[in-house]
Amino acid sequence: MKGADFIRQILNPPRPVLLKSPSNYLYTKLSQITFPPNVSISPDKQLLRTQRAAENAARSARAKVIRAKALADHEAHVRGKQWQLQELDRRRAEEEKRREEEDEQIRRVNELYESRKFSNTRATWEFAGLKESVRKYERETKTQWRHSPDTFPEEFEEATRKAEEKEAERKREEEEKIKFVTIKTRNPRR
Amino acid sequence: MGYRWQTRNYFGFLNVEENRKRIAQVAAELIQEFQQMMNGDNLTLKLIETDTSELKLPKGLALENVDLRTLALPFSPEAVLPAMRLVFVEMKNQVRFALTDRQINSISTGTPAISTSILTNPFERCRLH
Repeated sequence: MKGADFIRQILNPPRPVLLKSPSNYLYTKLSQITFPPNVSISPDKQLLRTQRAAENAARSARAKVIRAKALADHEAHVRGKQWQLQELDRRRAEEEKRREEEDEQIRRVNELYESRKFSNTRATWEFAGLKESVRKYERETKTQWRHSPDTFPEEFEEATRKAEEKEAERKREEEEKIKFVTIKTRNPRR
Repeated sequence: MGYRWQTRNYFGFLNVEENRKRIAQVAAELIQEFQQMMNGDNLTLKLIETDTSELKLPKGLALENVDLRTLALPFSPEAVLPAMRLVFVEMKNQVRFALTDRQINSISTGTPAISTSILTNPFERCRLH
């Protein structure tokens, strides 16, 4: 070694080697060590204890989460039940109100009918200001109020036309059915 | 929060060009003195025999008031550590011989357990004297 080498060394000192993954490096180095056959490795009780503690903690945390979820579900269920009951009460009240209104309407119509000034027709109901309830009745029962040509000529004509169309369609369907049956019976004979 | 050295690490110190020049100059002067001390009167004879053509110095290094032939003389490895110590003293503690900041920060001034035992135990103190 010369003095110049010393200067060179002091100006360019060897850089420390930095490992990219020191933990992995250490693990690989340690795992390469082979113990002699007479050595028996006893279990690491502290490690086992810590592992068990960690497992217990995880289990208790999981149980806590499950319990909280179940509690939340139960609360939601109870809330839902309460809401259902409230809704039921509300609907019952609405129904009651509606029924009372209808009763009132029927009472008014009956009064008119009993006074013998009006017959129990659609015109009567409409006169009594119950046009909406007539429509509702028609809609709910899927029927049509009997029209008379005197009271509603246009609607009477339309109703007649519809009835005729329906009858014609029924007849046509029957005819087609007969045709189909005859053809079907003939074919296997040939 | 403990005490932190207000000094740079070695690599950080060497990154500055002026510091590099300073440290090289000090080292060269130190080596010259060392050779004078070790060889005495024989130094002139040795210097005549030495050849500086094979001398390998870092590029762009300009040394002042130093005979380059002294750098070509053998320098024993036993002298390296004391020489380095002297070089760092010449740097006036602006640099520590620690490669990283972490090493610098892990330097502690004495161990408190031992120092307290020495100070509190009079017999220990006597034995030291």
